[in-house]
Amino acid sequence: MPNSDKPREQWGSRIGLILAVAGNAIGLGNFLRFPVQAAQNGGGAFMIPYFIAFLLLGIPLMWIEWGIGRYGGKFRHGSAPGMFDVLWNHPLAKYLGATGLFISLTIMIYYTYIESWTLGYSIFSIFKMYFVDNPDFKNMKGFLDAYQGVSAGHGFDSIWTAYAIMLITFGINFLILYKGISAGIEKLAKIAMPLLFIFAVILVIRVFTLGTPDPSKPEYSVWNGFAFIWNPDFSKLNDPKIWLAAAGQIFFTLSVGMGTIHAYASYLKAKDDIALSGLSTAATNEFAEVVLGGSIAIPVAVAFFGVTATQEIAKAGAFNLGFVSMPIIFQKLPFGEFFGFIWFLLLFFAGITSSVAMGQPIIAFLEDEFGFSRKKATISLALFTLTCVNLVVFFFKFGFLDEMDYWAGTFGLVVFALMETILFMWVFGADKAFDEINSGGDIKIPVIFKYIMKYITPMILLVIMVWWLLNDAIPILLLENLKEEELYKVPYIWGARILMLAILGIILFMIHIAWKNREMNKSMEAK
Amino acid sequence: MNLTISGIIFWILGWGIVIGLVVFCFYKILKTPKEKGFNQD
Repeated sequence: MPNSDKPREQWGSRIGLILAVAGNAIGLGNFLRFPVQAAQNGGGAFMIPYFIAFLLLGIPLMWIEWGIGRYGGKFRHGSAPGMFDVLWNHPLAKYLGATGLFISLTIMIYYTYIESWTLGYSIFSIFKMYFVDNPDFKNMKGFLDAYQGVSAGHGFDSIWTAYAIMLITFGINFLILYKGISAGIEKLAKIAMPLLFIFAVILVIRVFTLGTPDPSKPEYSVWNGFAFIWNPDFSKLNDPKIWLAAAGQIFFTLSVGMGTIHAYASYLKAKDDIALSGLSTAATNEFAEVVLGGSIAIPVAVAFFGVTATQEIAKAGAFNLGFVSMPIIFQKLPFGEFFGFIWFLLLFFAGITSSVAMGQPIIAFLEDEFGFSRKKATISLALFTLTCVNLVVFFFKFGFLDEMDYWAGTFGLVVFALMETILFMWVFGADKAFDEINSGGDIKIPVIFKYIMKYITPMILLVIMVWWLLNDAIPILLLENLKEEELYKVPYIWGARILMLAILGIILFMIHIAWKNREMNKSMEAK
Repeated sequence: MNLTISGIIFWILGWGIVIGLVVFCFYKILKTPKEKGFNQD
């Protein structure tokens, strides 16, 4: 039963909050997804739609989520169902908020497993466990596959090494969540974020001083790597796909549409600033992405493999870049074990500051709507996620993780972001919403943003959603994207869908029970 | 593929916008009077 007498937790300092929300936003995508997207979509010209999307989509969504979060916190709600309920006085509102809990919980289940790979690889780097005499893509892909249990060999006879490191990673996550907002999440952010930036700067300096590693191949140079990212190809700007790719990148990089920023902002006081804090968070994330993320993986890949091979690496996806190409490079560098260690530890810090943020909405939901203690809420979350993650680990090679990532981690985000924007700017009201965001602000947000948030941001979200629905969601739903030799995955893909429906069903049922209890308490108090 | 003049311009612009925004935000945060500070009653 909710305990309204017990004071809610609070952030200890503004810098701690900004680092925590920036930590939520800064993830593996900043260092792996962004440089690939930039290089594939017009180089320097990609930055034109990228910054326009940042201005019209990223910053407005940040403010909207901070605004909804702090407003919900005034009513002791730290998760989307309660927040939507106070924004829109309608019985349906709280059930729409289930999307926010579903997305953060589902992503946490598989993201923490991916995060555990980075911890594992940092250990493997320092002990040179993947180091061989003649490292190549086949060898390193084999090592990754063996570690993930896709195949055997490379010192891994089973998946249990990955499983043990996964358990350690989950354990660290739950310990931080159990410690709470200030003593856990904020403390983590204050340690992990400065270390992340220090490691990234060390790596950037190393990349800049690499020059041309093989003098017999002068075209394989770091500067050509930067050319690959920054030389503009203006012809690409005529392609609407590039604009959508830029909007998608901004959307993913800021970690909006997940319900996590709301949860963090709910622990603010009514007059605490959100205008400047929200902008600072977005700016910090962009620094990690454009300045640091753009200066490591792709330039170094061009320096060692050349532009043509790097284009192929980029096409193969961010994971291949991070876990296959980079380990080859570390083996060719003097003190490569050290650079490998800090690269993967950097990714681990980027991951853990995001995964704890994904756990917080559910914990807040259990605390605020059911009156659970922090300990009971954390244990409940731990039991649930550890049960579900087994399916992700053991069915990984059957596309279980990819299916969850598409529906919760890609399509779900834009659905939730569109929903919250409409609720805040149209149902709650643009004037009230804009005043709420500006209340207590250390900067005055220009009025034009009220109109951007009301008209342009939801319009961009709608275009992205319809585009993804037609081009990806429907073919994926109908399994049209599967090749003949991949048909064995079908039962597992349906298994992932059933799991996601079960998670959503449980959340909806719990919302129903929480509000039913609330009504009962109200009527008892009235008597 | 060599780094072109327009590539250098976009590189400087990209970094400049981001670094400028970070400097602006943290300058404003540091300039905020303590008494108006965060989480104070």
